[in-house]
Amino acid sequence: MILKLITSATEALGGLSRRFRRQSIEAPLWERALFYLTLGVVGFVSVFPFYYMGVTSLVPESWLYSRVPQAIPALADLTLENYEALFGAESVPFVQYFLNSLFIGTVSAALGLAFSIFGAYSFARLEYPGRWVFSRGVLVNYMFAGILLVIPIFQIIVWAKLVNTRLGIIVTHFIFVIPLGLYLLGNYFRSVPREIEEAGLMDGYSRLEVIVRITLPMSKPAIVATYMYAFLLSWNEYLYASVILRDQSLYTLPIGIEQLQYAFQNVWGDVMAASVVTTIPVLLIFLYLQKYLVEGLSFGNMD
Amino acid sequence: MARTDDSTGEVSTSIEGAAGERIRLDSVTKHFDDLIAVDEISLEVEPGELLVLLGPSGCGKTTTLRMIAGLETVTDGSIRIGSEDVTQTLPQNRDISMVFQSYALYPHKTVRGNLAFPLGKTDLTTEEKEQKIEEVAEMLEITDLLEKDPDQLSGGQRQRVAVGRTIIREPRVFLLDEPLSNLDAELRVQTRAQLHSLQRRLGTTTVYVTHDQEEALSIADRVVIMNDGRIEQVGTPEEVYTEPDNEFVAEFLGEPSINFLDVGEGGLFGGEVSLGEIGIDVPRETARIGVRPEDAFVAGKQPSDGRFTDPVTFELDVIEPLGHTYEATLERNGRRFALQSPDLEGEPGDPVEIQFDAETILAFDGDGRRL
Repeated sequence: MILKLITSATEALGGLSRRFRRQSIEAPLWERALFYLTLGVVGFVSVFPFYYMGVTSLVPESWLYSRVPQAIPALADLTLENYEALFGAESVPFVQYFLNSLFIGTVSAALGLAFSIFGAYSFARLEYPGRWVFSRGVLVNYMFAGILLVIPIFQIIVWAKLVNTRLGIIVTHFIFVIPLGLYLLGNYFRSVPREIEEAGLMDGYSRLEVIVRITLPMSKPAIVATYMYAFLLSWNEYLYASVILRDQSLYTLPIGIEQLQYAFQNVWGDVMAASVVTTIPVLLIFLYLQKYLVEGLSFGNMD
Repeated sequence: MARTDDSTGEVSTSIEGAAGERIRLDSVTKHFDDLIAVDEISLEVEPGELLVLLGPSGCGKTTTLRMIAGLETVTDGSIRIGSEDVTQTLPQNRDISMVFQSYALYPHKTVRGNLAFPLGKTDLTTEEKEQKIEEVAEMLEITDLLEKDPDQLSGGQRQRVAVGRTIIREPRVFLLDEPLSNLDAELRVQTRAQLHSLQRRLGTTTVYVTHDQEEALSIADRVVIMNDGRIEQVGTPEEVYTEPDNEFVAEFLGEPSINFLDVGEGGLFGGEVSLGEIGIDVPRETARIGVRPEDAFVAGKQPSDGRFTDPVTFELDVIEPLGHTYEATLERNGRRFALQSPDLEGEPGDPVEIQFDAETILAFDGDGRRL
């Protein structure tokens, strides 16, 4: 979702600057007006839910249920009580959820990335029988909706005795990262000129050293994009986490937020506070890494 | 070690190039699936020599170079460098360096980083490496560029960085794959001369691939002319130009191309002029003769010494002034003849009397071999 938002926003910005360059020559006023109107609508639809999430987290429940709905709360209405309740409640180990998500996301994304790097490199550069079947076949996996695979994957997790473990969920998230990781990185590696890698070989380095010292640094955007995608996939993933995890102490944020309903009385403010806390780190990372992300994603032709 | 000689202020450098090593290709063959790219090539590159592989695109010259580099496997045959058989050696272990057509600079490293990269695998100390980078940079006049990124450099500067990266490790062999083809004409001639003198100075065995015959003839100690995966001729630039083994070599070298005249029914131009009549003396099996455009003269304007055929009259078809000379296409009985001469004058349609230099006429048999 955020991914979509950011890519659509950057596309819009790209369109904007193109318009600006052209305006003095041809774009008539009505065309520009239409453009800004469209931009405004898209922007509003994209941003308003975030805004309302933030507002809801900062006001008392009573404000939400006031007779005349308001979009902008008075300054006097603002309060941090939802956050206090969220972090103060003994029945809800919210910090634990956060750490669980962070750990599972970091590890599964790292594993997915490492696997994708070597797999994608082999698709892009090495010759072996069956390469075509593997490289296409892996994309087929991407065509299944996650829910179709719940039962088979759960059976595998049961068989591997990984039910209700962090490893179980890490492995599951890892599996879902791979198709896109291979695709994105494979395309990017193909864009690295062969001659540059060959120059590395001629300069005395082994294939593996060339990958690490030349190909990977040159592919930084795709690597960042893949890692972010993988981390986010894990961070937001609800279905498998809810199936595999049983103990509250292992819950990730998406399940944790859902559980808040049972823990609190006036639930919306707390849920939104939890959502804000869940969203902020992701937004920060995105803002920081967005230049790589946009480059990496636009290269892999991913929408 | 670079030392500064106090009396002259000259910097003598430690970049000397390894003593030349001999390269030997023995019946080397390369197949790409069904395509035979290189067909049983045997070739020796003498120690310290600059050998140029020349040929039209697709002739196998780059594949041959890449097999020497180890970037392509050898389907059959063997490659030796010095006394060592490197046929199965990985490229990183061959102690060879290469300049690529695209230069292949590492875009994420500065010029200094690019030059330092090959040194990463040597056991030099950090100071020695720094010293070497400075020396090579000075040698190639790129000292000012050391901290820049490759994408900030011009084509000529990139080319010099690529050369610097090649020589800095002092490998056994240099390989150059069309190193000048991305430069503009003026820079190409200038850089060609610099490359030439650099190679002389270092004395490192060098294999150089190009499709540009002028470049090949100007820089080479010996030229290998390749066609269709095979070697047509090996020789010094003078040899391959004046004594081509066959029609392919004769035609490939020289701009404009050599003129071939069919010797049909014992005469030229469809039998109309007999060889004897104009004083051409060639073996009986001759099927065609070759005359280079600069070896034909406007009648009466030929040099005073030498032996010339009797004049043949052509009709002037196209004439192009090149400043110092003219290039023209002549016609007789529907056969064309290219001529390069400073003495031409006239309009298209005018008759021109031409004499051939009898000494330089090349005779070929029915299979295109020179007699």
